[in-house]
Amino acid sequence: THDPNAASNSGEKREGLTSSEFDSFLKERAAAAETMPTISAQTGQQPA
Amino acid sequence: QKAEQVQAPARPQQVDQDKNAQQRYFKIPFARPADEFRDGNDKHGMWFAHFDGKWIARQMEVYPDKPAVILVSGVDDMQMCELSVEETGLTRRRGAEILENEFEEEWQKFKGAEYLKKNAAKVSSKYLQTKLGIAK
Repeated sequence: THDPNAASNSGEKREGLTSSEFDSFLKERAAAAETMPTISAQTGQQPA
Repeated sequence: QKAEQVQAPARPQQVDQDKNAQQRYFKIPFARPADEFRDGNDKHGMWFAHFDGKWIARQMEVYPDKPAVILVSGVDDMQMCELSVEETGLTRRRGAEILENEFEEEWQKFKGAEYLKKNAAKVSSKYLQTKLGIAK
């Protein structure tokens, strides 16, 4: 549950920031991307 | 003996994803864990989202050196953002909201339309169902 007043209570720091739950989700997605092959590896090309 | 029929409550997605729901689009950079403490690198990927009302309908992840990831609600729910648009905080983040055109341009670039058509039967967003001409 989210208190709509929580952001204002904690001052300006919360303004312009995404929620911690969303940040965790984004980190998970970034970590998942780490396991994907790079495009150069996929096509068998070596970077110049 | 009469079996007791218990009707499952409607999921919030089904309640809120009506045809007239607001469509919002977002784009934010995301750093991979290895990039976190490096300054000035250009390896940041971009995370794109389309929210149909309260819930995400399409998600796209674009990296400079990796194939783009295209995800659609109803098909790829396990990998998608399960928070409501308000819960993400994206609406409060300056510069995160983008125009529909900007999202669609990227979506087309990475063959999102083809993916959507291929999985049309499973798409759960009412807005996308209407767009695909399969609205129930």
